Amino acid sequence: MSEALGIFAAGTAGVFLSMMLLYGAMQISAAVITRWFEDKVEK
Amino acid sequence: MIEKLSTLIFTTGFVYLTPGMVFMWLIGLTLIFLAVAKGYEPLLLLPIGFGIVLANLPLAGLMEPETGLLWKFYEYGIHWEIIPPLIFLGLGALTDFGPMLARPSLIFLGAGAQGGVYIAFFAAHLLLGFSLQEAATIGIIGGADGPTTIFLASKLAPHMLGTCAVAAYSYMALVPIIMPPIIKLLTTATERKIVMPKARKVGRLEKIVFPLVGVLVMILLVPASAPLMSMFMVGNLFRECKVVERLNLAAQNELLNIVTIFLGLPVGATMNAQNFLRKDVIFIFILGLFAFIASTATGILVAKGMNLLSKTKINPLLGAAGVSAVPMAARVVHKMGQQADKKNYLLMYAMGPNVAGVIGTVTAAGIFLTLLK
Repeated sequence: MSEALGIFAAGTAGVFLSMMLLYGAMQISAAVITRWFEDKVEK
Repeated sequence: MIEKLSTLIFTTGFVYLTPGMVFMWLIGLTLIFLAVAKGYEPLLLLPIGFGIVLANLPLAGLMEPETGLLWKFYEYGIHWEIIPPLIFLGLGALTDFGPMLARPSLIFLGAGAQGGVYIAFFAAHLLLGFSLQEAATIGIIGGADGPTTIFLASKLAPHMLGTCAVAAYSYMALVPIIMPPIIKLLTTATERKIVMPKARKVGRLEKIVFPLVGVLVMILLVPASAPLMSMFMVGNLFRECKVVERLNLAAQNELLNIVTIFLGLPVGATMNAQNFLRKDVIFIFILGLFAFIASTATGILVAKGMNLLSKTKINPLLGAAGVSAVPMAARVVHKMGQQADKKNYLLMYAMGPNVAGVIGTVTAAGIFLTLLK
């Protein structure tokens, strides 16, 4: 049971952590593009 | 002469037919019926149904290891990890990440909907005694992503591949029936009326950069997701860069259509009577449905949780679109939003969590592979 619980916790946290990092990467790339490369990207 | 006639008779398949094989024909024919007459996921359920019939023809040897035709499709297509990633290449070329990029916070709904995957995994292992690998394969059905289910099953529980694939595609076809009661149960009429603020316009460069950034971040985080994630993102890059239109169209059309044929037939062919007619199969279908329902519910609950933390409220219906049945889940959400308020157009907003759900399910599968293989 403890292994299943570990996978449950690690999996749920892992998916959210991945999405948080992807969110951050999306925000940074949008900011960089807006600032230096493509003025047309609206906020 | 009688001896020759007797030899001939004993080389026909009729002599070796078993009731189990005939029962499997009925299952295969039912899937073909649902695909043809009802239009339920016909691109997959039709070849899967035909594959089931073929796999249950005695002496045909189509799934005979080393020599059988469908065995070769299975071995070199699925077991060698070729066909599911190629399906993802086509899906990437068909996917517009624009709605997700326009409102990046909606990707958390795609993560939230994976909660059901892990809840079903836990339930399958703890309550019904499935091994961890089998439980993971059952849980991923909740992601409502057929190729990912097949990919994970081929790695962790090949004996359950056919059953899990049929369950995943069946529930994907039943999204308009399964989702609305759960959504109504978990949201109020007032919440369903929430109008989303106008999304910003996403430029071409941002759409080109996303698959590059996405592939770097996601594969560095979960390397086991690389076969699916890499193909998904390169397909999307074909689409967005606008300079390889031939590759884009080939990935969207010819390639996707061809690999769909070579996916469905061998998946169906894994379902022989011996593998399928076990009591476990009923539990797999029940748990798969539970996973699907739980994923819808956790997506909605995460949306409601985000509303508690944020000043700008989002319509919690969008959480249900976090399951990656693209675009059916988003359409159901849109329809329910319109039932609450005719002026509420949620489709483009719902596509954000819907495509994020695909990324989330691939990530969840990658995590299972990392921890269990």
